Amino acid sequence: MRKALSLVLILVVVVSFFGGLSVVPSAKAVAQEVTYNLATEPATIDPALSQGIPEANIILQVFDGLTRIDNKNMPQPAIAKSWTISKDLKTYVFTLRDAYWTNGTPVTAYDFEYAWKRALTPELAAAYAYQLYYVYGGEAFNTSIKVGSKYYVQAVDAKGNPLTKKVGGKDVPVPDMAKEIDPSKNIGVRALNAKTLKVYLQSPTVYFLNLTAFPTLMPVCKAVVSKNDKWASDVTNFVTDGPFKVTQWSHNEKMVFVNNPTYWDKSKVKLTKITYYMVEDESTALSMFQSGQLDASATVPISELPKLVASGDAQILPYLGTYYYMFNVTKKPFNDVRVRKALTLAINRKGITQSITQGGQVPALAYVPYGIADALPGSDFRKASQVSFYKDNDIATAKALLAQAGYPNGKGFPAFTLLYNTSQAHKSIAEAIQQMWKKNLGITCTLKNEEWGVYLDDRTNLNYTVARAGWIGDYMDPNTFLDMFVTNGGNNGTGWSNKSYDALIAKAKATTDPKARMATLHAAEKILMTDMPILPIYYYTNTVLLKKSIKNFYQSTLGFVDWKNAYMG
Amino acid sequence: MAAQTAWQFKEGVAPDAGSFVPAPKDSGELQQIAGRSTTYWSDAIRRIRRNKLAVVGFWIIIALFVVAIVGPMVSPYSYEDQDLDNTFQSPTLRHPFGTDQLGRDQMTRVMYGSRISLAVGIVCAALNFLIGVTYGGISAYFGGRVDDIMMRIVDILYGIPTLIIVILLTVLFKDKGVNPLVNVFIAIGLTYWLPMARIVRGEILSLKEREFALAAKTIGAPNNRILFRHLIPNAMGPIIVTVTLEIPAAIFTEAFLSYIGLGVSAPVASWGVLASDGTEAIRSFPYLVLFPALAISLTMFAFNFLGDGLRDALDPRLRQ
Amino acid sequence: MLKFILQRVLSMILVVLIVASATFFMMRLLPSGPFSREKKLPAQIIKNLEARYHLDDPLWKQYVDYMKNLLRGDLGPSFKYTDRTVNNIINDGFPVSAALGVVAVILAVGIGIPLGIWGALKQNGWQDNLVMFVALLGVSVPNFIMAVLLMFIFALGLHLVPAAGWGSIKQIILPAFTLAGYPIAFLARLVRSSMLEVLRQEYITTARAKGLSERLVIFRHALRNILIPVVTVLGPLIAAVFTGSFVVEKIFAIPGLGRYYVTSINDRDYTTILGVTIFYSALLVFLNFMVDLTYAWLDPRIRYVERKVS
Repeated sequence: MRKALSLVLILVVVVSFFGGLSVVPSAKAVAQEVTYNLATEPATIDPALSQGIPEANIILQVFDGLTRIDNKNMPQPAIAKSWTISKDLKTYVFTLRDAYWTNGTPVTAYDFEYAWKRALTPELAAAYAYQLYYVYGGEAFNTSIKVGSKYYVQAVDAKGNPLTKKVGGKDVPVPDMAKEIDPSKNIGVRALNAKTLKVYLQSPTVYFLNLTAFPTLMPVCKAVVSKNDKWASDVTNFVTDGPFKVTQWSHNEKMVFVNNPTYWDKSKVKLTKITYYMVEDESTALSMFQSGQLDASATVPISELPKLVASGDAQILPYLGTYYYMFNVTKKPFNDVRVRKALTLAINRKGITQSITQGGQVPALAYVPYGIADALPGSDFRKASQVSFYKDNDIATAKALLAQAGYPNGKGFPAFTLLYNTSQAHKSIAEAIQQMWKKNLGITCTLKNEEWGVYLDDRTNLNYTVARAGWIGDYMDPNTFLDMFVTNGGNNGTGWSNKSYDALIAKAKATTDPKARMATLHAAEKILMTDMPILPIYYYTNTVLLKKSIKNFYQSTLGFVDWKNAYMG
Repeated sequence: MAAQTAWQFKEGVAPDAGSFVPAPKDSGELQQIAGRSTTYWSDAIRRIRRNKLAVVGFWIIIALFVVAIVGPMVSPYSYEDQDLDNTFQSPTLRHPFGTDQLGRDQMTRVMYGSRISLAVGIVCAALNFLIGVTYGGISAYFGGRVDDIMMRIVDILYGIPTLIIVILLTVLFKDKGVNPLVNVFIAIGLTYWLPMARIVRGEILSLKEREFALAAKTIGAPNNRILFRHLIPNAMGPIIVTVTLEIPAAIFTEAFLSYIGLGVSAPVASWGVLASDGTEAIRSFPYLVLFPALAISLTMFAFNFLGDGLRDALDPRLRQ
Repeated sequence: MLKFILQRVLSMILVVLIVASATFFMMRLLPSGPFSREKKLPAQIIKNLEARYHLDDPLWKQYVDYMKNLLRGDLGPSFKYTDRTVNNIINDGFPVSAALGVVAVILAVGIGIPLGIWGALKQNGWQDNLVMFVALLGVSVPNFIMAVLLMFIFALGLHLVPAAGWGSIKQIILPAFTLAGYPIAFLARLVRSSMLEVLRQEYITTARAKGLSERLVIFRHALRNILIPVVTVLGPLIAAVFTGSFVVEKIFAIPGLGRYYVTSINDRDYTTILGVTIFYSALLVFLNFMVDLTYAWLDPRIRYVERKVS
């Protein structure tokens, strides 16, 4: 009896063991949920008001524009299923597909028209309204003066200077009552019907289809937003049309997204939940990544980067930006191009990128970074003409140039200050370059770090001699890097002015033929790299902490993350 | 002597305040009852010498100063010499504290940094002591309206964000050619004495109502004598604790100021800056934060030992 | 006494108004403004923004308008966080910082004071030396290192608590200890030093001579007299800790109020700077008032109303 019992028991155990095995699915379904560190609290989630990358990384998950950028950085049809472009590249007619807002109403061309005009309204004061200046009349409307319920152009005096008058102690612009701007007529965007949007541009803009995927140009639900100005401050009113929707926003802590059942392309969306955390401290984010609280993070501590890349936990991604120093060309001795060139040649960029920044950055031997398409399909602006304009660490030439400028071996070179905004990375680079100039050229500079606002102010007012700077592209075109250096350009910052450079940039803006346009931009860059108001150091890269189980993660070269096609494997 | 004064009235018959006639204020002879100053100080020094920990603390401080002055001179490296091929080297015989992200010898940098940090620590402690003790003492001693106004000023200074003041100072000092350390002293001196002033005030408010203080007053001792010779020595305990604990705080504040752009500029780095820079690399290269942090701790311990000894030596009630 | 309290309340209101005014004008002297960017905004857009927030009004008018709104309790919209008001920011952040602050203050008082008493009772014994050594270590390790070390040991090493974040009781432990580190050490040293003095005083000797138990001597007679420096420290400490610490909140990713004391200034977010400053200074003057009242309770000899010397 006892034997029989134990036999039965053994049988039970064996059967249940094998039975158990067969019950376990061969591949356990992975939860399609991801946690990501956005690293900062977004300033807003209203697409019209959004400015930075953190805001964009929220808006791109919850909105779909006319186009959407694919994993190859190319614009693809999104809410617009097709479009036609006029010969002069100025008129676009978009045909919209059947798509729905999260409140169930259809996304219409009227929503786009409303959203763009709203972003341009002067009293909304959207910081990135200039992204819509490409649209005909956009700039004029955004800079107009409101009187009652109507908008007018600012009056000018005989010399063409804008007129203002004193009212209650402040300068108020004077409207030209003869020149009314009617936003319903004078702006180049109009819904022809619910499914057709006609856009007329100020001037031909070859990258316009990239811009239609940009946060500022996202549609908003007219029925909701026109009734509630504060719609974006409460997630229950936050009606969107993208792959995901926001369900929770705990300020400075986290934001939760779930997949959007009303999204037109929902079959492509595999993630069911995304949680964004706002962990500012890079080291803390890494700790949370290591302890499993985070699956991915937008920040990686520099000192840990080489190890994390080697272990596969961190990835280095291309980033459209250049790290450079700028010279105040209005100050002696930096008004001499030979001095600027000597200082540019006498630094060892490879040493800096390999030993200090260590994030796979590429030494910059020109200004426009790699990763922007040239005229021919598949070509790269950087490689298409001149890859480099000077040699890295070319001490002999540098010394010769400095001697020609009247400072043989640095003798008599005035002491100057190298300005940077406070950060350990900027400090290390500045310390290295200070030593290189001293060793290679025999010139001495002192380092000076400043709080961000003080630094920006000093840069703007040319209250510096040499200063650290960086530029991240706004769109995928060389123009985003080059047009800033026109005479008195808001972001020029160097005091440099060159008439033929200005002419080339203006010409490129009016040119529609891609080949001729790129040739013009190449010519402009050549002038910039001959006059050297700036000293390029390296091309940026982006780093991201990423669990290996996250598949199809995409971050564009502009730094925008898109989770639409990502999944957990 | 102060302690005796207290004793006399405690044990003797307390004078009837109503029948007592105040002595003329300018009577010099009568104040002498407070004791002979030579005895007080020589007595203090004698007793501090007997306190072993205090002596150890004293010698550590001397050693720190010697290293700060001589160390960078005898080191084979300079604080700014870089070697990009030998970055982040762990401690070895050649580099006992390792090398940093630019391949600089961390030991030389720590020794050089002590010049700034020791100066900041000591000057700030001294400022703290001078301003805070005097201010808090006066406020409490005179009390009433004076106290209310002086303490409300302290509240105001507490309230205005230091960060704004410091940024404005960087703008103010820019290109003025002032020694950067002086800027740091001014910035720290502006607000650092506030806790001290409040602590001293709290003590004196209570002490001034004690018998020995009332007694000194009734015999006509002038205000400053009562305050500085009777009351403040009796509050020495909390004062010394506060001063010594604010030395490391000042050292770290200097790092914060340098972050805002006030103070010595790179590549010179104080202990505070070395420690906060090192913290960013703490996972892989913990030695970078370890040595400057140890240096700060050592300084702090030394000052505490000495401070405790000083307290015992200066506190009238602890005298045998 | 009533007159004293009334006078004091008036002077407290005055202090807050002076702090607000001084901060208002000083922050406007800071280089750069809320709309300065590395990528500069077009001049006309900055004009639109200034018009939206009334920054184009003359400064005196902006000041008067702000003060009017302040008296109504309206701290204005944040310039940086477009969808939020400053009242909103304080309402969200303060409860978090305060919750953490309560725990930190309890730790500081509950550990610091007993340690100090213990040290004093065993003066120069090994217990005393150990306590003081630990206390000194606590002071000389700054909070940004302490925070990282605690995180490494208890979260990454021992897996006892989450590394950072907010929402569970477990997530309060490490930041609370980090916040309490310096106050524990400060209080322990302060209490020890005061205790040593008190223990040498006559009335303690008398109490002991009367045959009272040591415990009664300490708690009935000595404790009251050591609390004056402790209470002095606690006033500003509570104000500082309850409104949040920038470093601790940053390292432990806590959605409190502390970050705004630094970020609002970096962002030149004028209304937020003023809002959090006024909030802190009101809390501080109130607590310092409480401190003064506590003094009078601890030591009945302390009088705030001036004596008439006849």
